[in-house]
Amino acid sequence: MVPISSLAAPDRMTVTSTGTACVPRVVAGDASVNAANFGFRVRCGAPLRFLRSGGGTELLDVVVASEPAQRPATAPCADWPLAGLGGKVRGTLYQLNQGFEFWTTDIGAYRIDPEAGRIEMPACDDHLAREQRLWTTPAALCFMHRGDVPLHAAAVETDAGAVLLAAPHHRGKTTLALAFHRLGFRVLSEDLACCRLDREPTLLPGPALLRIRPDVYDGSPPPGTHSVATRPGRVYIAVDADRRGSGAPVPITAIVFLRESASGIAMERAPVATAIRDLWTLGFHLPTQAARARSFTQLTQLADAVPTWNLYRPAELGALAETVARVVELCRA
Amino acid sequence: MPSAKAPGAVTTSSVVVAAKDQVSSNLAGEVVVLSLGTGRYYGLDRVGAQVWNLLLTPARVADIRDAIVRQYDVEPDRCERDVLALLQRLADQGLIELTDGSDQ
Repeated sequence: MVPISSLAAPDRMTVTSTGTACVPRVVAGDASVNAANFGFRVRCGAPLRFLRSGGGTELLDVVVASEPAQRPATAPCADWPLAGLGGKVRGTLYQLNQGFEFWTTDIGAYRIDPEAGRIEMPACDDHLAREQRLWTTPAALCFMHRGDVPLHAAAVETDAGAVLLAAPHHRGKTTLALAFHRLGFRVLSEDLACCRLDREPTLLPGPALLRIRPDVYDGSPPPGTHSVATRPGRVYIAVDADRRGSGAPVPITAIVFLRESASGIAMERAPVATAIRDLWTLGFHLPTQAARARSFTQLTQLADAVPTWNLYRPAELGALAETVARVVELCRA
Repeated sequence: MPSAKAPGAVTTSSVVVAAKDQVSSNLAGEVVVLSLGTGRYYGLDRVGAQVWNLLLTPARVADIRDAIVRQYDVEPDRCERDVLALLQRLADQGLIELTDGSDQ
């Protein structure tokens, strides 16, 4: 006797994507634009510290605003506290006729025109924090417009391909990514993964930056990195140029959901239902039905194409090396 | 003639169809459904997925029951109870629309 299926317990989703498909803007023959992030060839008059060398395709123009912006008079489509800042700094997103404005209460406003492939950053003194924010919501809106999928995850490169380390804030993504780095693996992204749904899904490497919690930082940057700043709640370290690699796409070999365990390290395949639930929670979308539908479809395609795993591990620094070894071993298998 | 059943109650004579206000995906034999109105997400296992796939076009509940009985080793009465229970839950969550079938 085969029991009839029942409805799984519903889970509230919190997140999505822009709903607009677009044709990538390919810029050929511009050798001066070689720095890349998230698949973009990045052109910027101001210095950017966390770019990779080559591997981008579509042009992204980043400029600094010549004068302060005025907050839009329209209602925002999203407003949230920015992670890691004690709830003191908020981000607010406005959708306008020509793109978006992303306002932060400390740095200022970013104007994003995904169609044109252009982001305007605020003029401010904290260039590092400004660049770090650039590679969050503003860049995500641009690559979502291109059809790529954002996921709240770190990513590292093993010999089997890109492994996404997916978890909400403060669940050890950066700490584990840094452990991979210490053991010789390339860090592809620290907090925001840009996934492309090709026949074989790929990861488009993001900024070469790791923001480490002070309680897991021993005070000196590990080999292959250098310290660039200390900010409330995080120490910023940049990956050295010779460890960054290019921004070229890397095939995704696994998505690993980080979970805590008090009894050792274990990895097991994530059931489909829980994988979708977690991916949905860790995705990002605009609050429209079209955006929700598009994001949901993309995330299910991703889960269908890439093995998903639950990684149970102790939240202890002493367990990091063994955790890395276990992930690498399973991905090879 | 007024219907005796409670509004929204699924019966074997009901005609049911997946609501427009949802998006679903097949995934390794299972189905995941997102209610676009509420943002809630639901998962259906393999048998539930087969029922769901029959709902993508309007279908009479009795026909869904019969399709499942043909495919699985299950008593018709038990199958009917389970199918009705599943469809009622889907209806309660706004994932399917139903009529009493009188216009079919």
